[in-house]
Amino acid sequence: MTGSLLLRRRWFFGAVAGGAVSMWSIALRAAPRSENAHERVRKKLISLLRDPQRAREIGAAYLRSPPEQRAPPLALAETVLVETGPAAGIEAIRRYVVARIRRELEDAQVVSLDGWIISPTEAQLCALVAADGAP
Amino acid sequence: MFIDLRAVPDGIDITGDICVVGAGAAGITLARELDGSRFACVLLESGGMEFDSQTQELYAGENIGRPFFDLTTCRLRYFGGTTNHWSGWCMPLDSIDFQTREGLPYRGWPFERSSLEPWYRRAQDICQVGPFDYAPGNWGMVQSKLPTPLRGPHFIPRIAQLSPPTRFGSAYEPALKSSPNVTVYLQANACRFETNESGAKVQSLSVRTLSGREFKVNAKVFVLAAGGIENARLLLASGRTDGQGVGDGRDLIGRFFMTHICCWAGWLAVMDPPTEFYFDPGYFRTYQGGSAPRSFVPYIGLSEETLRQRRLPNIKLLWKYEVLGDTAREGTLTDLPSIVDEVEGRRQYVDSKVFRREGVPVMGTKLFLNLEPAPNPDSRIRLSRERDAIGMRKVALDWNVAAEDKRNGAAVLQLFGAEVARTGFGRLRSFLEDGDDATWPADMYGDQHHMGTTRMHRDPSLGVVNADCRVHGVANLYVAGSSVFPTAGAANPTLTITALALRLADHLKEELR
Repeated sequence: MTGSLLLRRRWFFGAVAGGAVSMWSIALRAAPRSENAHERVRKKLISLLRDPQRAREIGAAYLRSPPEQRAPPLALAETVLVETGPAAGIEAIRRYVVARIRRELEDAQVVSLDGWIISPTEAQLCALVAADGAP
Repeated sequence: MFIDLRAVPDGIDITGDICVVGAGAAGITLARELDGSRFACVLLESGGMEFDSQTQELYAGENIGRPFFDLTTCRLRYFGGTTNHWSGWCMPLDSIDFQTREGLPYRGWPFERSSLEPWYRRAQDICQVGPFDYAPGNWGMVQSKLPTPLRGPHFIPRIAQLSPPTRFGSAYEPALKSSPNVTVYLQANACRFETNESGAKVQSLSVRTLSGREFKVNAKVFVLAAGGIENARLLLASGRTDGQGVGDGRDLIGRFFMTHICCWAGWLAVMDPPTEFYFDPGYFRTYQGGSAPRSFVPYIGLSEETLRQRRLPNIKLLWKYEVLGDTAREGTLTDLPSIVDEVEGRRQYVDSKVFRREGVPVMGTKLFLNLEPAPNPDSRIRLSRERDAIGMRKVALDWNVAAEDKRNGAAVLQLFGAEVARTGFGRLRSFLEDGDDATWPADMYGDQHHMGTTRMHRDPSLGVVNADCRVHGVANLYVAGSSVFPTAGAANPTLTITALALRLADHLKEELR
């Protein structure tokens, strides 16, 4: 087998495997999930907030920032659903969110809300409260 | 010997081997070094031994760029120069300040810091500070007691040593008075270098008194040491064509005017209101651990690795404790909480005064940023059409900052904000939003460190003086002082000015031998 053929074959299998992962991911994202799954995750996320009422102001400030500088309100719930699965309990979600915040801060990946420097995940958490008006 | 030029009879030329223009930190250091040598040194000072408003007025000029200090107040024109109101902060530039930086144009010196260190060590004595040791650990700073955001990897503790401060005039007047070979001329205003036909050699220097008398100084070598603004002014005033100074074939003299950019850049809400802080950036301290008490001031810096990786300029970050009332909270997210429970340190934070109800004072620290400016050819000194009392064209200072400066300042604050949050130390509100120049805080100003206007570079197309501080293309004209700094760093400049003057003195002694 020539080197180039080997390379092509590796590329082919790699592409198939990658395609499979991508298809799964697309399917997962595109599949109409029950309202309950989203709602359950949203509620679990909000329960992570130490004080949802006070988080509302931060969330509102985040939602007022230019669209290119923020994620849609439910983006975090969507990500958590994909990353931890619909059956994840509150502790699993907390670990995921805390790790994500820490990673963002370590990378200095932050947003500025009225000058206050917070991580995007923190801002998105607060946005969940602000977006629908009900904690 | 000191001579008041007004007492010198007309028609007498002043002659020496080396003529130094300006008796500030650089000029006096040079003269001290030449004291006792076999060279006749002439040191010219515009003023007398005390402040005099008529002489000081010779500094008057226009600010045609960003608002800047009145040019008659941000420097002093009498024996000792601006060291007469120097605050005394001493620190060397960092190694990285001497290096070219990827993605940061115009930066870098023509030599490494290590090659300047022998003169830095000697400069410590002249500035009357302790040993050449700036490691915080050797000033009683214990790493484990530092606020968590300052334990790296990005932000680190730094210290500046505090000079008494040395007033170079009064401190070194006795030595110069008794010098056998240094003559100090007071009331001697340098007006113009006269060069030979080709412009490759200075033949003499015209000097005037305020009373209108004129003298000529002849010397083998001339050293311009009149300060970061006046150095450029005198070179520009000595040109044969308008706007082009001596040795200025490439329109560089006066460009790259730099000054550290200062502002109250943020507010830090600490997790627990401090009762006793171990590390107080910006607050004067005394170290008792040495043979004698030594004064120093801690500040916050960026690690070299972070400066390099994030392509940031150098900084000094200080803070000031404040009990803030309601007005300081206006327009802020007063309810910034510990957003997620169980994230390290946050529980305490939410219970701190930051989140008390309105009407309760909030304790925190205001952050003061001192930012290294980007070398900017459009920030410059020009000559005005107006003339001063001795007939010299006044300065027009066109100070500008680049968009890069604003971005860099905002990036530093964002990084610090991420660090104080990550470590559970508190939360930071930045006053520096990333954006265009107009969004600088209203209190932003350029400080009184005037640098860069006769910048040093090996390549004559990029610098006014070479690595020996000699003006490119002019055989016997040198420049001393912060005007030769091609990169400003974040260090206060006096120690480096002194070190460079010592280095230049050694060079001249060798050159004229």
